[in-house]
Amino acid sequence: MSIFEKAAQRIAKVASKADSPRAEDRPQRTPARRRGKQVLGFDESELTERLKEMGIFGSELQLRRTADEYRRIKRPLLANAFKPGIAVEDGQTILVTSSLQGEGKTYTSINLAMSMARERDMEVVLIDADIFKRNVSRIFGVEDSPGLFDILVGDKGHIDDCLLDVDIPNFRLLPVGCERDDSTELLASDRMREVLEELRGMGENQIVILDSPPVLMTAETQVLKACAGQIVFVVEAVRTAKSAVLQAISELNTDKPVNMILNKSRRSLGINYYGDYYGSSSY
Amino acid sequence: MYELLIQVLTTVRGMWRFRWYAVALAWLVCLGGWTYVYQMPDKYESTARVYLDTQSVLKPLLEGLAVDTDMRSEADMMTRVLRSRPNIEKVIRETDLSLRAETPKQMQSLISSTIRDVNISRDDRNMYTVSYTDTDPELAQRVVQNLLDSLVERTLGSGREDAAYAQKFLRKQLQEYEQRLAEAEQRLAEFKKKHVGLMPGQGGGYYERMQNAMDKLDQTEARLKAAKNRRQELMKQLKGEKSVIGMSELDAKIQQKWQELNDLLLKYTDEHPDVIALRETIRQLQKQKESGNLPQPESDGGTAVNPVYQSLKIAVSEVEVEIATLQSQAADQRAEIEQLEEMVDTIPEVEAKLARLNRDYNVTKKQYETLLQRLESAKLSEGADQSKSDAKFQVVEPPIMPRSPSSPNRFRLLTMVLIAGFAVGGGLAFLLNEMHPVFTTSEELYKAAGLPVLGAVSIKLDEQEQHAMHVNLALLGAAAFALPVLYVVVLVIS
Repeated sequence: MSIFEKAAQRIAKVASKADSPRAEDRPQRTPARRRGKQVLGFDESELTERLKEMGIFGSELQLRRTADEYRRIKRPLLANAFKPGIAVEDGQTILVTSSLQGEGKTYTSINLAMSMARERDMEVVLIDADIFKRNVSRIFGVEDSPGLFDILVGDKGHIDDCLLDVDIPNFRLLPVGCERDDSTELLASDRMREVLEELRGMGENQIVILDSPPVLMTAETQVLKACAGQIVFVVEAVRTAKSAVLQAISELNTDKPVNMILNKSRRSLGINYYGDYYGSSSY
Repeated sequence: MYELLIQVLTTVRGMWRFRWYAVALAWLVCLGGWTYVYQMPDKYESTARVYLDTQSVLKPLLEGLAVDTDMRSEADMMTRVLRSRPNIEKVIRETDLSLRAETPKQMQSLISSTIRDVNISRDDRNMYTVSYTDTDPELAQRVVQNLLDSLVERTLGSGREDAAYAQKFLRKQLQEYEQRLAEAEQRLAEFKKKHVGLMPGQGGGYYERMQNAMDKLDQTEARLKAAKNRRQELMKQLKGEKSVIGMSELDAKIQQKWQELNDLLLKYTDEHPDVIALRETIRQLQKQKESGNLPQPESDGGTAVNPVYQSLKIAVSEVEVEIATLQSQAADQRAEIEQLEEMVDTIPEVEAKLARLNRDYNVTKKQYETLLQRLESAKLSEGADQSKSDAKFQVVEPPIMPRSPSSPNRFRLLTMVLIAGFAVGGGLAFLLNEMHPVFTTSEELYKAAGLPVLGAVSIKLDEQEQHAMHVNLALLGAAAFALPVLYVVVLVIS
């Protein structure tokens, strides 16, 4: 069983007892607010804990560094979304993708979302659009919950039913939803556009982040790029072949702004690695 | 410079992905190489050095005179001959090296490999090094000794051989030329005998002779003409004279004669024969006049014999005799000229042929003399060679039986294998990296993709992962380090 599955199981157990009065099982949580039906009862530190267990986060030092890195990274994206003169159409909708799997799309989208949620007067919705791997949903323990594709199909219908609050301020989550064979078509439908518009309209400065499948491995991404105003392309350092990246980029073939992130980079090219991890540097 | 460094580090990072392949290959190469070097048999080299003397004392003396066989070029040729297949075969048989070959094919390859292992080089002006390498030290020594003996034999012998051959050749040539000379002499003699009258020596050349004859004829004819003229003159005078003359006539005649004498003396001196004759005539007339008129019986009334008449008559007969003689001379001379004219073709021909025969003879003679001289030279140089031969060849260092092997240089080879192992391993990693390039830095990504790079997110490893990485690194280090350690071990073993 993969690490996601194990954690998901545990979380599912917790979630199913959402309404049961077993206070000692659950950590303290603040009550629900705003739109959204369900509230996942963990805050950022618990999420961090979870993510740590997943092997996504490491030490305190690493957390700090990650936070810094994403602070830098998000600025041009926010400019594309809101800054007058620079902002592009639908720039608030950001697609996160890569050439192959395992490069760090999910990690990037979650971190980006969390980093942007910390901005003053900004709200973020993270949508899990990866119908195959469902990693975002898994991490939050909601892979079986109704989500995006349920809304697109129509019968489970409403955003309010699916959109989830998390005890991270300004951060909301839309799980992936049900499994569908016609996922590409659903994503290409008018309903998708409506959903995104509605989500965008929910707040003054609303950011929608879409975690998508890899470009070279499915067709969904080609459709999804039409939904977003800008694209973030994740590349894993020292592992993904140059040819794959270049091929994916050429397949992406869009006029919309595409920005790249080099993920899992080896800071000093592997030579003086160690100092940083043991906290000796004053980073 | 900085870019270069980054480039290098990026490449190294890429290669690092394949570090285990590299190490594995290095191990493979090292183990294989070391095993091979280990089992290489030791080879022993035996060398000898010889000194070939071409600067003997006699050389300057003999320069230009004697046929000096150049020792150095001979020696160079010698080394080629020594390393030739037939000679090497001989060496192989004589040193029992042949025991290593059983079939003719093996023999052939043995000869080839021996030729390769034999080294004859010239160090410097007259020093030569002969060496041979083999797994058996004793055999190496024997082979070199054998080669040395051959070298000595050949260089010493050939000089003498050359001289003997040269002399034989010269003698044969001399014989031939002697014969030709004799023949030429004979031909010349015969020819001279055949054309004895026409030889240029007598009278000097055909054209000279012709010229002489013609001159003589001219002379004779001139004298003849003069004589004829005189006769004519005398006849004229005779006609004007009577054989007998009277007294008064005598006076008149004396007078006339004095006149004539005067006229003559205008032209000629007293020595002129006409003048002398005239004086004589006058004297006689005067004598006659003074002696009175002694009349001759035949004459009538006071006449006497005209002495002038008489003397004139004598002169006339003298001239006629002269004329006759001259005419006969002229006739002879004309005959001679005619004869010469007949020979006009043959004489030059003969003279030319004679000249040719003479020339042939001279040339042959000269040739003969040269050969004779050469023969003497050759004999001289042979003598010189023999006395030279003592100093001209010397073994400076005799071949010893080598105690320690000359090759292989195990230390060097083993080290090279170690280095090669790492190099090949590194090369493999490099190659694989080049075949599967990845992105290491944001700059690379930007350059390749042409899209802006927001930034690089560093990799974060949890404790477990870090631990695993360290273990991996330690293992790798151990594997890599074990190799030099093993190298030292192998070095010690060898």
